[in-house]
Amino acid sequence: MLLDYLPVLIMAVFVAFIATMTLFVSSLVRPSRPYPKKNQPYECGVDPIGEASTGRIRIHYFVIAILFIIFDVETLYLFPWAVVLKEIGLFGYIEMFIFIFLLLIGLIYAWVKGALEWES
Amino acid sequence: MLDLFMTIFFMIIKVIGITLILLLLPVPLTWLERKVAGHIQQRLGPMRVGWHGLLQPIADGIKLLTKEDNIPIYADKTLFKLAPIISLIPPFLVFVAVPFGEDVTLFGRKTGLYISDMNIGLLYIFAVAGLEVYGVILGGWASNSKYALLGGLRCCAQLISYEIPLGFSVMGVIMLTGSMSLLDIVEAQSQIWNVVYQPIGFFVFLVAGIAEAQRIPFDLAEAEGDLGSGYHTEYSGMRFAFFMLTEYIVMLTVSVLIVLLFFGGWNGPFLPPIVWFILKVGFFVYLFMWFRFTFPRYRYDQLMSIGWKVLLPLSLANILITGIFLA
Amino acid sequence: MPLNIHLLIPELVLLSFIILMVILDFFVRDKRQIGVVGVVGTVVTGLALILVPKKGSALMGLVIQDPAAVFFKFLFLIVALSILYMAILYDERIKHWKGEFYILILFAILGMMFLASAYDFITLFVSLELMAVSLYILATYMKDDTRSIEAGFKYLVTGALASGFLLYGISFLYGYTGYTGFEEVAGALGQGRGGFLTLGLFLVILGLTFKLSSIPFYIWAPDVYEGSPTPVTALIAAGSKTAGFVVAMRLLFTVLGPVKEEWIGLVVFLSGATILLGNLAAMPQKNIKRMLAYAGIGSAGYLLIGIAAASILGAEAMMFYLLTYIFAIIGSFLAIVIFSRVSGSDSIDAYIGLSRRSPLLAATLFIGLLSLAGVPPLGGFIAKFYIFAAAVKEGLIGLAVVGVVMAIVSMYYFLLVVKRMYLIEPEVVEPIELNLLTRATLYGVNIVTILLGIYPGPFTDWLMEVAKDFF
Repeated sequence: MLLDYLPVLIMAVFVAFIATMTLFVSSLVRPSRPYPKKNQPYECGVDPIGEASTGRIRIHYFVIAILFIIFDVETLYLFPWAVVLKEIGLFGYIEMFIFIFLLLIGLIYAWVKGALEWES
Repeated sequence: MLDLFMTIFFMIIKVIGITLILLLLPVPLTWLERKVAGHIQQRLGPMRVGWHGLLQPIADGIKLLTKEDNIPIYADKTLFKLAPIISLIPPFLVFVAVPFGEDVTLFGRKTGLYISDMNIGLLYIFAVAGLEVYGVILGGWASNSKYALLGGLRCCAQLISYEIPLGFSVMGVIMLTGSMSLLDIVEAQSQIWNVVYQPIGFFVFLVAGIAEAQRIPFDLAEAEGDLGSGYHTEYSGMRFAFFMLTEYIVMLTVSVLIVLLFFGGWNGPFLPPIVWFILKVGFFVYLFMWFRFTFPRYRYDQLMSIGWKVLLPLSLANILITGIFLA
Repeated sequence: MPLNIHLLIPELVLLSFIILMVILDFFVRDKRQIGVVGVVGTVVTGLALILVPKKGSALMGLVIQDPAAVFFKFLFLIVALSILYMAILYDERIKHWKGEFYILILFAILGMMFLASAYDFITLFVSLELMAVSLYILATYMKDDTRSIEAGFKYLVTGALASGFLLYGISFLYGYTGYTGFEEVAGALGQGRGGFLTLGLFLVILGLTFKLSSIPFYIWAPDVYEGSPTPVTALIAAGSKTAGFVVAMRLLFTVLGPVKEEWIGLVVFLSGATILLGNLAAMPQKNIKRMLAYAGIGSAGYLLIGIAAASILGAEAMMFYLLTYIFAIIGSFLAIVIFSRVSGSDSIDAYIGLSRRSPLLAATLFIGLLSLAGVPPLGGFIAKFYIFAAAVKEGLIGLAVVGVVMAIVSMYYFLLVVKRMYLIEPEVVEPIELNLLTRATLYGVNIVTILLGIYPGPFTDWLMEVAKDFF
């Protein structure tokens, strides 16, 4: 059973190895002449103003992230349910129907309240 | 003991083989894409390097290899260097669980045209494919440039938004088969393809898949026009190439998954299975290229509302309807 | 163990009403109607609670139903009714998301109801968070008011810290015993002792003190009480604290009863310190909500005496104390909400001459505050009497002495308000109009508080029976 997952490790190590080797080979042949003016972040040619990564970003991205977590957990519940649906029959279907229905109300709620509108 | 050793040996051989194939596939694919683009737009495309520009990708590769590796002065250096590799690994890992055909006999030993037949195959694929987001968001953030940050955030929001309909749309297929193993799913389609039972599921998967691969019409993350090519604005040389490679492999992954889940995998008459498989995958790769030069790009708010207001309800409805027939 | 879903019918009824309210929120324009639906839902839940079996366990032992749980669920429903009523009165001051205000109140109540019958650490934590997260949002509800935002933020940060303590403690208990169910943990604790057990206990008790608003996690209380919308303050004061004590009783009496000597010293210390701090700090307060916050901290100290007693009498005293406390808090806060609609202020000085403007409002506040102080013949007196009796019986004489002295001190700051209401001549004398429903509610609350004081017999006898479930 565990053997099924061994290739995952092998592949991750191998890809990382190839990537590092490529970068190494590239470092042998590429030029390296950095100077501050050249390495400034791109801002249409003018000098950059302020820090970009201080976290002043639209709150909307967080809303999307929260919605994602809710529905991603739902996906995880659905996977095992979908596999055994034929065995558990109508009772299992109704149970999941209630679950999806409740989440659907959540989606409609977010929709009506404007959480999905990008333009405010 | 020897048996175990041989199994692991074959495993390593297969892993290396598939990795190399995946690494080299973008070479013909970029050429093909530029040729398709050219002919759709009534041009010839690359013609200079080699016969009909066949060696153009090689020239591009050499150029990328010898380009200077710029690191912005305000960047978080470690994360900046690491991000392309982080985003490169997950798309490869997906192919551990992807089968290319049934068992074949090789050197007197029966072996499968797949690395590993996991019983949770599809779940594993979604789990690993989801990891790609980390490379994108880290790359965008570590650059500490406004364009890169915006691009990274947009891309991250897009990827997570479309991951949900993508996950929901395969639920119908799992219900039909009663298994998450891709081998079982293909086997169940030996008579009728799943696309017949699951047209809505296929449609949602196709659209969400294009969005996951960040192809036009959903390539908002790089949007050359308004974002200066998004989260990899600050990247150059090989690190930039890694991001590009990632995108190509994701596109390939989506095509392969569509074929396996909805179009019967390697099942087909007359021709050998592997040929059928390559033909089908090739068709979808071509379809993606075709889309790229046919459709305009969506606005970002349109992109978000398509994901949350159209695809998500559609895929949920698909689950419920499929469930009624099966339960 | 069977599923026994029928034991949870009251909670399911309440949940369905909450979902109905969410849906109605899309269509209804006057959001007070959603509050009315909530009131109906609470009443229906109460009826279901009367009909449901009073003994048993459900969801594979995750949830237990016993008379104590039913008693507390009734208390929470009473809290829900009065808070919803307060919220309807408060409606015009809420600017955004009016409908959700009622929905979140009921979500917090739902969390409390589950908390009352939690019989597993997982259930405990999940329902605690359901309540806490709703309250975090509610505390921040006036998002244009910096004090409300400050309140919500302080509440969230301390709350998250306390949740961390609680969870860390639970993980130690789980690691030590290997179970999350209360019964299994209690069984395993009988076997042996270890250093990590004490650490886990210590962390769990500290984590719970946030909900009790006792030392060491009391610091949020004054600011949150002052800044939150008044109905939310009442909900935190009456509901959240009661829920915290339900958990504390269930956890310390039922589960950790076998290792009593490990935690009793800590509880005695926390109790004494909290009584002293709450009552002394309440004296100089100028804002009535802030003063009630410190009074509430003091009350948490008195209730902790009951825990330190760790006897049936102690549990009975605590339940009776909570009963009178809830009615006193409801009465006082109803008066505060109604008065602040007219005056727009929560400062104690605004209450000057209230008795001339509305004798009923003044009387309600008078009765509520004096019941909190423990003046005979009101309910609070009997409650304090039982608490001290339980302490003396278990030999905690010192704690009882501190409690009695501080009860007398607490008279001082409560009487300051009373003096302003009755003895100082007001500048404005226009009377405050109350409609029939409000008058009836205020009379009802006052009558219950007085009744609990002059005729507590049936209640105490019944609670004595109920309290036996904890041991």
